[in-house]
Amino acid sequence: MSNGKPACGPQGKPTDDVLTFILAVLGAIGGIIGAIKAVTSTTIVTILGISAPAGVWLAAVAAALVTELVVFGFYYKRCLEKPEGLAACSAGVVNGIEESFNSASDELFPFTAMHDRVDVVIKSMYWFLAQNGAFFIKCAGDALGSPMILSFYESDEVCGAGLGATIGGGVGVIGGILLGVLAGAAIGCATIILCLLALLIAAIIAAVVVIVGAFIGGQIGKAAAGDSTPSASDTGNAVQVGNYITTKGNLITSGDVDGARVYWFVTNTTLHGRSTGTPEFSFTDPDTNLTPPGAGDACPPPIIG
Amino acid sequence: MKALFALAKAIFGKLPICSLVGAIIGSIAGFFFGMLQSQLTLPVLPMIDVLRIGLLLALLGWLIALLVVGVWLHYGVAAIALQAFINAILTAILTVYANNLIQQPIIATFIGLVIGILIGYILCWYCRKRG
Repeated sequence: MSNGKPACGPQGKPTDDVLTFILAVLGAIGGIIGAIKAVTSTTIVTILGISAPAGVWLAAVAAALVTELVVFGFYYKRCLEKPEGLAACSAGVVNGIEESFNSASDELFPFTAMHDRVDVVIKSMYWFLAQNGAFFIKCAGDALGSPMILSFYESDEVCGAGLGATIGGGVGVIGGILLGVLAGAAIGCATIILCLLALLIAAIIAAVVVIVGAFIGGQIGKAAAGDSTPSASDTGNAVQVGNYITTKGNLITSGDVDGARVYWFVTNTTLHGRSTGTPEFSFTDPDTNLTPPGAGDACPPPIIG
Repeated sequence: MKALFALAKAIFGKLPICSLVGAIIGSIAGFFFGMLQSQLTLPVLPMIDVLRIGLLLALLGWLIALLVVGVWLHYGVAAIALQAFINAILTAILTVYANNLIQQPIIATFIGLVIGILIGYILCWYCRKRG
């Protein structure tokens, strides 16, 4: 059943959807607010008793809006998008597990945390799933460079944090704008450099307050959602490195992981015992021990002829 | 939201990462310099002011690129720091220089974005050429 082993690494140029989104938001809001300032003749604006140069107000508004939209963009991409993919099934051995919130930056910026990920070195009969439509083939670090499919498990924690961060950031928008404007107004526009500093400080403070709101909201959302780990659908046993595993789910090409084919998300997991080996695993391990093809794993047998 | 992501992908999806980073830095530099121009109704500034303002905006753009691309998008701060720094210096100074000459703050952000794309494209091309 084995076909030719796909070459590891890049197969083309992927698109990072979140990065292009951030650029579009920055360009659009920056362009619109910059244009508003350019066509209005008002130099000083007073709102809620705070008088500041119009540019300071607009810089703070732009920064707060861009930051909040970026936070929401992450949440949308992680939890709301539901991209259409291929209903697929594959099997192999678990080479590694990357849990969500495993770094300080994920805790500090909870909206950027990624779902739990299980890296599976797949049997050679499933290589076509890692290859078709891929811009990148992820491989294990074994001598043969065994292809993997990264399997994401939808995490309530990540989505709770994303929702909480969006709400918290939204609350921070108004406060951020006001605080930013207060700081900017204190500097004033007496000289070119001072005026530039006033604009920058107003924008930075507005953005930071939104991020602080996103942090607080994200941590509350994460705590409310509770912890979850990848586990077998039938027994509930936690997936561990070295497990033989069958995963079923929605297979997509993901810009978040260099354009590799990934399960987003796994909908069904079956465990079949453990390998006697250790990472980095080779595809020859599940090819030999998770047999016969189509029967040793929980995928439907291949249709021949 | 789906349409916004699709639009962003359609416009910027074919660009290399250096261009995307450059465009972020350029649009930030263009936005702030445009705001400054329209707030103070600036005349054409001497080169020394262009350099001062360009360097300040380059520093801001670089830090934002490190935060967004390096930390939030998990590319790694150390992995992009030097390239983003060179990109930021060139893009921000050229953006301020161009906007200072053109004197059209209404399109300052757009000018910065285009300059960032071009500078990033050239840097990516140069890096690929050097292997």
